[in-house]
Amino acid sequence: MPFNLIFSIINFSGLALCLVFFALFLKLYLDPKIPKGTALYYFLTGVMLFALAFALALLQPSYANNGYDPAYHLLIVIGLIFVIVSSRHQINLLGMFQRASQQLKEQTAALTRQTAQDSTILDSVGECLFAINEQGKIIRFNGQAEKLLGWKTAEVLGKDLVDIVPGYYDENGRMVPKNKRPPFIALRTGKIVRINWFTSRYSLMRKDGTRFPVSGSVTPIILNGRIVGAIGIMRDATEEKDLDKIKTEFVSLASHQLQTPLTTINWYADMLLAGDAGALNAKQTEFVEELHQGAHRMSQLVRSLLDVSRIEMRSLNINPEPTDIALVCRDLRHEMEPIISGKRLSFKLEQETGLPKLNIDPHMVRTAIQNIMSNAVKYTPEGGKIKLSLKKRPRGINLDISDTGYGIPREQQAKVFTKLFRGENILNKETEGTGLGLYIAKAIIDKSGGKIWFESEENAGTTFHVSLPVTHIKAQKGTTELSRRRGILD
Amino acid sequence: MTPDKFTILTVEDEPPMLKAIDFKLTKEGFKVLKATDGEKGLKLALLKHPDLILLDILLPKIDGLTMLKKLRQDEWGKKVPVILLTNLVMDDRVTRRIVEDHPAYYLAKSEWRLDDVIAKIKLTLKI
Repeated sequence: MPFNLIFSIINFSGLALCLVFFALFLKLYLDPKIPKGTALYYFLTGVMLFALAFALALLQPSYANNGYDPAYHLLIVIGLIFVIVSSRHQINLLGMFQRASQQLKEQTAALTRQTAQDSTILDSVGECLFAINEQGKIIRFNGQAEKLLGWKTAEVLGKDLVDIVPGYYDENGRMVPKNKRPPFIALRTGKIVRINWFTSRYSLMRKDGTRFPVSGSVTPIILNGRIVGAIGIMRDATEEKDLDKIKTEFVSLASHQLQTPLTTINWYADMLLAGDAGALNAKQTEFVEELHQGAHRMSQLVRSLLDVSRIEMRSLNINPEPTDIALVCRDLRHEMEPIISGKRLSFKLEQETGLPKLNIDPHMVRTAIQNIMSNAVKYTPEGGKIKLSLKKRPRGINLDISDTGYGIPREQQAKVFTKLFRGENILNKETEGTGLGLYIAKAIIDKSGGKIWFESEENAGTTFHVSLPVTHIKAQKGTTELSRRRGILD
Repeated sequence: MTPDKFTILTVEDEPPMLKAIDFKLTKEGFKVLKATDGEKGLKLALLKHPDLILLDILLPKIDGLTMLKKLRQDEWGKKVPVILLTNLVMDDRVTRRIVEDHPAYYLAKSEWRLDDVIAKIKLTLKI
């Protein structure tokens, strides 16, 4: 009995082991990743047949008594054949392994070559290129960087970028604080920081203490969603700086040189009209008036072009000061009175009480509002209505100018704020426009932190909305101001 | 007082403009002194002590602002009213200097008709 029991236990556990083997190898066998006909496939088939043969053998009750069943011997033989077949394949398997290892070697070599090539490419970039890690330490510094900054790569690797390359504001020569430096903004925000000398206006210092104006960009390096460093490209912007100076001087000179002959024409036309050279007859008066108007228009155009050139050079000065916007509007209304009454327009100016003063550049915003108002006056036919209203808003003032004018064709509305835009419906009605007024107005309102938008229906009218914040703008140092329209000391 | 009691110095390098200003001022009855550059203007001002100076900014030899600065260093020149009449677009630099040297007015030529300029002159001289 105990003997039988021992046999039964061996029998039972052996059977379980065989079945577990069978199941494990079957699972592997059915794995679609193992293609039929491969060494592993034959090997698995062999092992499974062995496991099956032993399981069958153990199931024989006569096994304990050295019983004989040809069935499992047959299975063992077939299993053996499969294993032998698989071993033949295994020779191929060895070959495959050797080939794979060879391939790996080649790939590694290619990768090394590629890395070296990439590295050379980076180092050969014609612009100063540097990279920093997340602590702001320099990890890469190319040949141009060496040339531009005067440092050798070996001297700067691992050093703090902020110590090696200090930045200075051109305006006052002060050092740019660490947290305002583009590499650190890029590291902190994970966004590309572009540096354009025209807007940033700062210089970097070389090893020898000399400085140069800089343009470029710093891009964060993001790996698996984490900022691990930043890569920067810098360029000596001396040429831009020189051009800016030439342009500013040209603009100033051109304004003087172009305006002078126009003013002369205006003054002499004025004198003729005033009868300073004797009374003119009706026809003569009419002709001189045409002269006068032409010169005046030209003068306006020159001024608008200068304003545009300053806006596009981004060299506008913004000098914010507390401004009573209602006063500006009333003043403009007064200035346009001759045209308003000449066209018998009704012009209403409504304002809510207790409007706050706005911290804006009064001269620039005046120009913007003037442009919108003069459009309303210009493009509203005789006898039409114009309304200007000023409303208090939680954080500023809304200014609405509506008219009963020609309107802007629907299909052209998207282009209203583009330079030189003129509505097709007014081209033959009003020859005076330059297509610059709204472009200038939008540039100014944007710069002042405000918004401008409009609704318009052809032959029904247009409403322009301007929202201006109470406080927004910081003084921005450009190099020029919009052309003055009046004496500053009046 | 009438204009004929007053002398006005005009410093202007553009002949047609100078001619127009001269014509208008003379017609109004003012006595007119003329200079075509800053150097002559300064010399004439200090010599003849006009009641008012009409001054352009862009001028040969010395420019209007330098002339104004030098004028303000003189005991008499400190107080003489000066109207700057120019087409020069003002930038910060110019503005600062103008304010420092206290002109009576700064007028942009292209914005002002000659009659308005005359009116400003009369206002300044309290005529």
